[in-house]
Amino acid sequence: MKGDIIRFSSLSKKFREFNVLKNVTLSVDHGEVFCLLGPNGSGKTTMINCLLSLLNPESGSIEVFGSENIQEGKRRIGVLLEDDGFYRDMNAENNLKVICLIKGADFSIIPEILKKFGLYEHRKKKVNKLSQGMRKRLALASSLIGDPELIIWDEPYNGLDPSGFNFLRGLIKELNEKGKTLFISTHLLSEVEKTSSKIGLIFQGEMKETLTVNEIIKKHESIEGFYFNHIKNSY
Amino acid sequence: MNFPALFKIELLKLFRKSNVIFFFLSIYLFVTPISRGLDEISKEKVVLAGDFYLSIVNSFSIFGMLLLALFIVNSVGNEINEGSFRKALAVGVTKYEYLKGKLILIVVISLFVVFCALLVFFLFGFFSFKIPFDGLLKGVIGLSILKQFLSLFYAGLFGLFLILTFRNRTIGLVFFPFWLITEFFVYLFGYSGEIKTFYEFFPGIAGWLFYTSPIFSIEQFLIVIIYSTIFVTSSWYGLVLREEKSL
Repeated sequence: MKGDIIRFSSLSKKFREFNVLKNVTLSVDHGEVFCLLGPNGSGKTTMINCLLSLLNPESGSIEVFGSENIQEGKRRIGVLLEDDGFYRDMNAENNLKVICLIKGADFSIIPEILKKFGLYEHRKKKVNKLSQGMRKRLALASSLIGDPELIIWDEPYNGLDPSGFNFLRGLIKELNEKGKTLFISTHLLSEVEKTSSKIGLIFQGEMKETLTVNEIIKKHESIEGFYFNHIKNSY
Repeated sequence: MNFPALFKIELLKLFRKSNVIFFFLSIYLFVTPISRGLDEISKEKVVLAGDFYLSIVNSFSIFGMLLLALFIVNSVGNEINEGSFRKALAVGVTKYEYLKGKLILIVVISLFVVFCALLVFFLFGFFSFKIPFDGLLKGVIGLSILKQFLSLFYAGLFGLFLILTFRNRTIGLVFFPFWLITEFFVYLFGYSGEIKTFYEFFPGIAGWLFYTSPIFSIEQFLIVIIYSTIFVTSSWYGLVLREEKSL
């Protein structure tokens, strides 16, 4: 399968009078690991929220799997939101059961997925008793339920320790090899370089540039150069 | 998503810790009106099954409706505050399915409360008042069961309306009981004839009168239906017109 999995066309979004997204145009191809870079408050999460139809854009359009009806394709999308969105006083296993029911997946995959993320022993613990890192791993696990074709992760590195970073790198590679498309928002430059095939930079609601890693090295010498050439004053 | 999946999701969520705590609190709150009802009826020389049944129905009415509405406010409010509602929408639940899930939940709890009322009636009638089983069975009014269920369902819709329209648990958990108390005082004034009021048109009193009145009044039924329509419509627009921003 080739072609765009995600396409933003002239997308604009306002919160009251504040323009959060300004005419954003972007496309992500099938099988790509796309990283959306940008400082805090640049519009990364708003883009993801629009992509998941949690927010309604003022103008422009979004296509996922070639259709503007995003709801239709949601069962094929794995999601990790910035706030993990778990039922706090429900245990880890039951939280995953809810996702299975939504995705139409079988409960039998839960033990395997919990083991993969090192959470099997903690499956009966309430989510509010898990550490921040464990919650993040659980959120990552939940995003893979239903074997999604497109995976959208908002700040997946937040709350992870160095071995978690390492695990996530391996996971991204594994998913990419399986032909999955990943859309990851982050501001961790070092991780972006190691994992992504294409990088987009958003600043103050504007999509500054979208390049592959090789193109960035050629043009800006490094990911840091790419980032700081565009973002002079984020504070 | 199909009906069994929605039902299973609501059932899984029903047994989360905050809901279980609410359930035990409800039992505690039910003890007083039920024991008062039993005390009253035990003063009678001959306990008639029909009178006893109506006494049990009355004992369950106020707390049954109030607690059901508060339960819905609390559980939906929890989902909104912790972000699980947003996540459900993000991973594929439509707003229509979410509302449908909540309606299923209200039906399940309403049936459970009706069942509890019947259980208390049969247990106390048989063991405390020594009424034979067939006598108890004759005392149960079929239409009353339907009215109880509809009134409880109506109370759940009231709670859903409060939380989905205002998206604020304080309105549901603090303002709502005060509002009902005010309604109740207006009802008392109207009932005693001191002040002419239209208490039967107030949303809380309308539901309660429909629950407790021994006859099936078309007028009361229509009032409840009209309010129910307003509650569901408002809840629906509270869902679809609002954007789900990050927490």
